[in-house]
Amino acid sequence: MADRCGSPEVIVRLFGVLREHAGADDVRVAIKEGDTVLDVLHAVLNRVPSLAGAIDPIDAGRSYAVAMDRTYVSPDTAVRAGSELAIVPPVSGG
Amino acid sequence: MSAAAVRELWSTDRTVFVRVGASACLHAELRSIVHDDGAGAIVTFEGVTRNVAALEYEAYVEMAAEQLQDIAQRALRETGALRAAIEHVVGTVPLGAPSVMILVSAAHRGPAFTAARRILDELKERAPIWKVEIDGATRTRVAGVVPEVDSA
Repeated sequence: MADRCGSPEVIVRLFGVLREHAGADDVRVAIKEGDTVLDVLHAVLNRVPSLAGAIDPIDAGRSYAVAMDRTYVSPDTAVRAGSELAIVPPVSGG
Repeated sequence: MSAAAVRELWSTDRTVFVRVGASACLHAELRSIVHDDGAGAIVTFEGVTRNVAALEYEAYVEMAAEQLQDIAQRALRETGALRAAIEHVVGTVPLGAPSVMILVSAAHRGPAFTAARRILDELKERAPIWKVEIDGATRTRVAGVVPEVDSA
């Protein structure tokens, strides 16, 4: 998947309290070779500053989880162009 | 609310069925899905809204269905239970109404109870689903659990 300039990008879906903070269901960010989940989180914060108080990248995996292509992954996981990421705040199903 | 309103999944061996989406009151269908001629026990669990006017559920529907399928398949494998069917509702669930139904069949009651309990416990820890308590004009987001990284 690429943006209009041909750069690879990923879509990052937002849920729960994060969706409310961002006022959006998802955000697309450009990625480059070797980028990790952590890089994507920084890019998301640059695009959506209103998430700054909610997703400190240093807390990835502790105060929220990240999924890539519907699997929970660690912050150092390499991202693939065209992937669907999701920032998952604490879950409360059932 | 997620645009993908409903996700239904069958495991390839047809022993696990999962539905995540708007309420469909599927209890009779779920009951027939877990029917097995070798089953001497069927456990049904319903999680229902208590104390507040309603709970409002949001889900990452596609991922929640896949996670629940994995959870249920693992529970069957580890307990020897035969079949499982799960429905989790997305949207508003009024007081007393079910948000989640888990049915498990097994040869005997032990594995059926154990598998149903395990599915519910793991659902609460891993399924990307969120709820808000609605009481009049008050909306309270329910505290939750941060899922651990999936093992490879």
